[in-house]
Amino acid sequence: MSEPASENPRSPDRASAALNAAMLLLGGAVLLALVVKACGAQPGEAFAAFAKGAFSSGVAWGQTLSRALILTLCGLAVALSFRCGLFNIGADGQMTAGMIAAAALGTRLLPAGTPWFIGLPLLMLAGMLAGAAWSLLAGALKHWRGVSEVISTLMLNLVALIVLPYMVSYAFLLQRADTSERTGTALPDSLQMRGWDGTSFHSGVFLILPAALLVWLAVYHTRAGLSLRATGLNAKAARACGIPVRRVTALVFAAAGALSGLAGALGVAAFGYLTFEPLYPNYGYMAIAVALVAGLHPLGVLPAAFFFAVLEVGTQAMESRAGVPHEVVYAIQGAVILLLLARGVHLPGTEAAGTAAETGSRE
Amino acid sequence: MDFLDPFLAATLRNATPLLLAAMGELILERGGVLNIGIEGVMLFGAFFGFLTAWATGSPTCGAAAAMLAGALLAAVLAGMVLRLKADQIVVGMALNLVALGVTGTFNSALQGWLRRQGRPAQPSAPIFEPLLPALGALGNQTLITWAALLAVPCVWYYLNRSERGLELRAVGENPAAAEASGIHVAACRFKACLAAGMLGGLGGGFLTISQAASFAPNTTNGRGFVALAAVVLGRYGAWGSAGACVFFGAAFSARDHFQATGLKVHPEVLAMLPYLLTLAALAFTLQKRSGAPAGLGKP
Repeated sequence: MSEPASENPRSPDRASAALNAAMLLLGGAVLLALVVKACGAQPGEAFAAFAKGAFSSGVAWGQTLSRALILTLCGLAVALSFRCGLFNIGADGQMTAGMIAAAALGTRLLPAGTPWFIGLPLLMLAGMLAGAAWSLLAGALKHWRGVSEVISTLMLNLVALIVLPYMVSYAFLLQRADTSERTGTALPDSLQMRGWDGTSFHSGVFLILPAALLVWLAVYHTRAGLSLRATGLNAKAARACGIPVRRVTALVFAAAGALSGLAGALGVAAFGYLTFEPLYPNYGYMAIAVALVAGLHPLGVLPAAFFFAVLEVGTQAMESRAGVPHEVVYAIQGAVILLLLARGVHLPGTEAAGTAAETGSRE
Repeated sequence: MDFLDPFLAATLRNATPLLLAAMGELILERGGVLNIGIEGVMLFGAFFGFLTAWATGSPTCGAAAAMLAGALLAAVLAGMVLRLKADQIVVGMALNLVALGVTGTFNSALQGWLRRQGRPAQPSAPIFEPLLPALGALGNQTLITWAALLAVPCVWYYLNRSERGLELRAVGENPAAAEASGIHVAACRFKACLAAGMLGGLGGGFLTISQAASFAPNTTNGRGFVALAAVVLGRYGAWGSAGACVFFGAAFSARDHFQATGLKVHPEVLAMLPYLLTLAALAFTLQKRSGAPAGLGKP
């Protein structure tokens, strides 16, 4: 099988990627300035709060990087799925499933004195398995019943959003006994990934780089990765070449779910407990923006995730210091995606997505 | 009957936004455009309908604004998909984010402004009065519900009996062939987008100017996605989709009404019901003869 045939001819080259990035920064800043103005805050003051919130201190950097970790893992999951022509937009639900599994394992199943070098890997494994299982529910519905993964993953996201508060609302599940607030039982000290020096910079942040490298290696330098890309470009042709399209599809569902689930497990280990509200609200949807800005390239996910983490932390600081609503971040993300699409950044093999769906349901 | 009557009435109420959104989505999908952004369209309608009703004091103005806001967002979809040939699913997701952000920002800004004015931070808008209260609990519905019920035969007639509907379906099945036979594909789809936006916007508006009198962030809460599923479940037909909407409406009311019967069911389990039923229903219908337009999702 020749390598060039599977390369995507329309993947953006470096210059246009740089242009995209520049446009992104400019577009984001202009939009943000407009909103700041509309809210009656001083733009200068608000932007100072933004920069301060995201960069000024160790605390700020810790906030930014710990969020970049979640966005990187979920962004990798989305990039992997889209690359294969699968619109798995369930990163949110898969992350939540990973969170719940990790919390359940850490607080209910593992003995109290489990050392961290045994407990944390188990926690991460539990998160990955739960995320993969949640994702494979959608995969199975597509595989055997031909249900579009778009609708099934959206539904599973909504279900996960209800399971989470359910878990922390009842004592026989994961509710914490000693407070009146509805939070989950805290993980034992040895299983919490405490931030360094009172910041939220925890050891999990070091996983950002290896995770992206691993996915990059898998996508570009393994046989399975080649099958994945070929399937994304044209599922029918891929199958004609002898690629087991259905097996590749199942594998991608599992891998994407595992990545999102890992994000959830790391998130809960960093927080130490579950809360009634999701710990990282809407991050699974932000991950779509991350993956698109990255051009669906695993290494591109790194700067993209960092950019959106800065945006997230910065706007939160703007809300508390300058009174600019934090929700604006979603509008900016949506606008960024639209801007990118308007500039003609296409997904690799999107026209093949339809054929992937067809071949997935027949046979 | 003191259980069944309110349950059925609530089912109709809960089905109303789904019906409106699903009818719009049906028209659009038969024309070959898939709008995942329906959730955002509804959210836009919900907020701007509420805002207008609150500002003008008239729910009718609110309903008009809801339709306008929905159509505006759908026009963005049309521009991106029809002119720029962008991917429909990604555009839809982006629109959902935009709607979540814009409505959330405006809502926070509005509340902040009201607080500074020393007024209650949670404004409430005037809502439609129920029509025909004489018909009992079941008939005690607002204008929008009646409109939603009326929309079903209208959409059916449009799609299956009118010339325009035939053209639209031709566009959905095979855009290239439709273009060759002299139908203006883009114009046809653009009109479908606007219609879907207006219906979806009104469906969202129903939540804030008829069912409740206030706006909460993300008040639509996945209803757009449920409407999307209803169209698939109804095999892309008006009656089938409407049936699916009523079914999901019943699932939503079951959540509220089982409590009253004293059955020991956790409310969370009931809250999941509509979404789980959607999944189950999709899994147990044969997708092979789904009746999906052949050109769905294709530029």
